[in-house]
Amino acid sequence: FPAMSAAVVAAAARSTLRPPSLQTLLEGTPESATVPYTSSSGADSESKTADKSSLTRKLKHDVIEGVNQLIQEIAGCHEQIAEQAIEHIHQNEVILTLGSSRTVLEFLCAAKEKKRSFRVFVAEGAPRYQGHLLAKELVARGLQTTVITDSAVFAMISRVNMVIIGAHAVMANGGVIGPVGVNMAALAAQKHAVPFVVLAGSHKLCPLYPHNPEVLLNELRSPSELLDFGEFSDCLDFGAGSGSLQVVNPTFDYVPPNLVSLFITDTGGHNPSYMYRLIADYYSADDLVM
Amino acid sequence: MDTRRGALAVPKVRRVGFFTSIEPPPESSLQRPNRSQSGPVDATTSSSPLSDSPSGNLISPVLIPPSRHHSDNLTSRVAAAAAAPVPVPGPAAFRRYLTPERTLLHVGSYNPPDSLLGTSSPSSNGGLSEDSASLFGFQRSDSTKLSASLPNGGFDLTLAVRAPQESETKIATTSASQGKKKIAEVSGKSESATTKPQKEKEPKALKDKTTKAERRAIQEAQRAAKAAAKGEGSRRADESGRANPGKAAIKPQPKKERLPVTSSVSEKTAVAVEKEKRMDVPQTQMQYDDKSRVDKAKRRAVVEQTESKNKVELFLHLPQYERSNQLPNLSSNFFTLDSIHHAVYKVGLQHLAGDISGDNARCIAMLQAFQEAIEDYSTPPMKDLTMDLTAKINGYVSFLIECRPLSMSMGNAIRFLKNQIRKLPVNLSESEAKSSLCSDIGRFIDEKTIIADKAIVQHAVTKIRDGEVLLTYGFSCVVEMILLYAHEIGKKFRVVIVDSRPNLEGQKLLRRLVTRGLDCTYTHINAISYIMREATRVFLGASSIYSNGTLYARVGTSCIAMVANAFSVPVIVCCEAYKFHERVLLDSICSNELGDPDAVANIPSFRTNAKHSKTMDNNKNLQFLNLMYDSTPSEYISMIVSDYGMIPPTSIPVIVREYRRENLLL
Repeated sequence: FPAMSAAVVAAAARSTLRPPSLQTLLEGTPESATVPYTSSSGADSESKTADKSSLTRKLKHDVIEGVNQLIQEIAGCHEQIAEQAIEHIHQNEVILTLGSSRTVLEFLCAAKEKKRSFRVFVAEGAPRYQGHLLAKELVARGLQTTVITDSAVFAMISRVNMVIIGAHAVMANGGVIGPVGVNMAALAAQKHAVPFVVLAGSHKLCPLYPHNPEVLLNELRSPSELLDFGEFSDCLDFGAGSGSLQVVNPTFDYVPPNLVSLFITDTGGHNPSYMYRLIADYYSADDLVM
Repeated sequence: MDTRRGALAVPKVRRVGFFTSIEPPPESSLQRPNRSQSGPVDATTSSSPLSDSPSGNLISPVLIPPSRHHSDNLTSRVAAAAAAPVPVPGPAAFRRYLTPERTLLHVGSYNPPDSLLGTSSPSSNGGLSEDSASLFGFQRSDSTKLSASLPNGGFDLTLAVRAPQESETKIATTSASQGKKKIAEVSGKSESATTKPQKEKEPKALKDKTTKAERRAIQEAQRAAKAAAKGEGSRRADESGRANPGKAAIKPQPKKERLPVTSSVSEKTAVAVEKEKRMDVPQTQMQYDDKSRVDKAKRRAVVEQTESKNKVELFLHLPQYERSNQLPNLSSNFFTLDSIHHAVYKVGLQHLAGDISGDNARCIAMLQAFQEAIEDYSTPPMKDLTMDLTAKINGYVSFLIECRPLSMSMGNAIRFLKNQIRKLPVNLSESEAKSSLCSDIGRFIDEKTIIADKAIVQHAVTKIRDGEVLLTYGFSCVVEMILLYAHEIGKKFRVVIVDSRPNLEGQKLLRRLVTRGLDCTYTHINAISYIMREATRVFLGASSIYSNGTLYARVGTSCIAMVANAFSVPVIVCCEAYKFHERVLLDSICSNELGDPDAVANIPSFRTNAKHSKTMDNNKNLQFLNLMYDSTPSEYISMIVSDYGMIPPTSIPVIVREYRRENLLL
């Protein structure tokens, strides 16, 4: 094939070694489609277009199947994680959690169904106060729950056996992006030697390495969740001698991997240092930017 | 120690802690490394209007005064009564420390070194030696404790003057009656050792002679004497003992008042020593899971309390009451209760309603209410002023406890007040006694809070440099003063205010700072990991500091300190010295205060996306916990700024011990 460039050769070589990524497929198809097209004299151009359309149809089918698989995985991760609950929660435990996560809810309820008795402290998780919702759901399923303010996390952690939180994302180095306030809980847990367990479905695994995650991987929400609009307008007169007022309301918190004791995913329990291996299962090398 | 003795003439004070003085103090060899002398010696410290503050022109470090002050420092009248005849003539040197110079050191030790070294250096040598000789075992004004420990009525009638010199000379003569451990501390603390060596040997030798059998004999004698003179002492003791169910801070009073009136001085002083040793162990607080004591307290209670239904198990030892019907009950009873003075009642209501928050405010309000109550007080016929007034104060205190549990600083203040009442000479008329007590209270408020705050601000402002980002938590009045003062003198800095539910006190501070023109950032406590990267210093206020260096402050302070530690940001705690306490604390569970659980449960419904269903509230599986305080371990604290200077958290027991002996702390 004289018209092939070096890049195409490299891409073809890569695609033989690993399952092809979506990008290579989409890139490679018109190339391979055009190559026989140009070589032929055009006599059987009709059969070539027929080949091309069947190829694209097959490609679409594959992509749709892949997406369906992903949806199922996301939907089903809760049960798989909850199955492992029985291994980690024993009798008369005290568990601390922060905010609200459906994975955590299912996890705890699975343990409750297996007749383990334990109590849960839920930190309310300002400024969205999701902890209250989680507490009500836990109580509805019969668990002893106490709602505490976020400021009391350090005070109560000396009496807690395990901290279990859900994650928003798991980074390639094993760090966790979670709801705001989990870093404080992780530091407190480390000080009191309490295991810090993160529940995350494997779809939350992210191939990025977190550089300065608080700023770059964070999202600052509206200050009205902390201070009402207009509440402080009387003291801010914007004159020469007035001060300025800035409200910071981040959504996420980063927990470095050394503070995490265990990841429980739908494929089992893992160490934070192992998480990078799982990336290869879910991401193609072409898509990794490391 | 030896090098220190050899190098200089007479080192008077031992310096501990951090230094910010610009001129190096005379005994430079004594000092720990002067951190801030090499640091930025701000022109602002010298130019700032420090002349009115008692700390003088130097930001002096913490001074441990030498062990020589026996005078009842807070009351000059005892020192003035130096002319009384001394039954047992001691050496002439004993009388030297009665000179009025001693009364100089009545206000905290932040007196500049010149007052200690300059004027009183000639007498200090003799004084120190006498001290160690006479009170081997006692430091400073333990005599005040002794004199205070002797019952007011009996002893003062038999001897004309209850003056410290009496007890001390008696102690000197009763060499065999003390068998305590403190000789080691005497030798450890004796800075002016050049003139003392021979005198020190005497007490050491005397102490060895006291054996266990002798001590037991002394105790038997005490017990016999106590049985003989039971009437007065025990009655008073019972009253005060019963009326104080749960006060940790005023523990020694019943024990002191039970001391019998005997003619044997040695027994008295021995008993006093025993009492003092027992007093060193603070009384435990009332535990609310002890059913009998709770019932007893309920019967005496003025305020009706209904216990909350959903108690958190971990906190069964603390009172958990329903707040909803307390306030209306109490306000409806305002005009019917005459056992409680109206000013005290008002303060109690304010506490219950939550109008007063913040330790200093609560303490000052309570003391001012007591001032009013004392002014209006009149002794009933056939009763002694001290006893009756003490009983009345106890009644007020238990009422205030029912409204809201006392803080450590309030406990210390009450202990001070009772001390003052007990130390009233009998020959004062009622009006004189009342006015002296009121002036004592006024002086306490001034010295311990207002002037102390000024001193703290002077010290702490030196730690603020231009371009800093200062983080603070909640609303501490001392930290507010520091920030405003630093802004006034022209330092450029930013403030980050961290706030938390349910009180949201930080908004008050935010409002005050922004109106004064400071640049502020406001956030909630969950976001401290985010904001701590920007902060350069953390300033925290305190409710009290325990002897093991643990900081007891608003809940959430420990989280701030921990995250600051993780990000290597220094944590500076600003706390007046009267809040120090000799108890120790390990975690936040054993000693705490529980607030209203509904404050946690009620969240503005628009904040969450779901409906707030009331049906869940009565579920016995769901509990809300509203802790008010928490304890921060001392390793997270870099420095404590108090009116005695800037000290590390490990020096707290030293301060408590040294200054409590002198009655300088209270």
